[in-house]
Amino acid sequence: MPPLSTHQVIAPTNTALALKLVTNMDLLRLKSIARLHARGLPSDVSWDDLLQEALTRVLTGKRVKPDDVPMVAFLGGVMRSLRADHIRRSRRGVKRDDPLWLGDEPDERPELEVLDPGADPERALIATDELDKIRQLFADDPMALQIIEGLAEGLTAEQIRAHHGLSRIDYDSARKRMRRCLIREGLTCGKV
Amino acid sequence: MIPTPPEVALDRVLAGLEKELVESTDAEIEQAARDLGMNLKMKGSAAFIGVIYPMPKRIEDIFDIETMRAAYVEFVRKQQSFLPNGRKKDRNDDEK
Repeated sequence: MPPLSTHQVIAPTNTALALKLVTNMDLLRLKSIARLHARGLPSDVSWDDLLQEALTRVLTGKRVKPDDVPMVAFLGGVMRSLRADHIRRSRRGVKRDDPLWLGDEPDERPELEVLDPGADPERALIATDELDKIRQLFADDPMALQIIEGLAEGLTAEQIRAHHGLSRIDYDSARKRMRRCLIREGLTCGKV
Repeated sequence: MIPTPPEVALDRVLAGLEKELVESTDAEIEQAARDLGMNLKMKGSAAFIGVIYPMPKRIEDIFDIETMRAAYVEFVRKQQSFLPNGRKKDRNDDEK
């Protein structure tokens, strides 16, 4: 970890590292997950916002990790939930610099707002575009594309394998290739 | 059969890929970094930008782009108003 000067704001990632809540490698996993969940979010929310927000919620005790859940898996879930919050806020037209944005209210009370996911054409277009970009990542890997389509349909691993006649070895090899591709995408700094 | 709404499909794909990343091994991360020519052991490795090291500043982080754009439009409008007859100067004006 780089030395911090007294004038520097200590980022939640640095605090989590110092407290040994995560390792350097975990942070890279989380970076890739954050970049994944930042896809299609309003332009005022970036992947590093998602990551730092998720860690802040854990550090402040707003989110408490169950003992039997690994930290990376837990933080991945928090980022997924934050993603849903940002989409809800964007649908309500609340911008990031709006005082309402800081309300912190929605993610524990999703029952307060029920939105029809099919009722927002703009969000549907953004989602279609993001799905296309994800397919492009695996354009030269037909097996990976079959897995993506299966995930999109809500199929389980067994159902995807059965539907496409994939052996367990083929399926696992495809997953490994997908992981490598996703990590490569995640480690770069630019916007995908 | 009712087609899956794209937002639902995207959420499912992201959740599935998230699971893959959660299960990735250190060796897979090191290999991916090597593919990109990154050395994770090196101090200040680009892989950690935005994680341990701050993201490079974007112009939007420093300036309010919309205000700057509006100010520029106003500046151009004022410049043009100084031209004879309030018209835009074109490249042929000097040759006439």
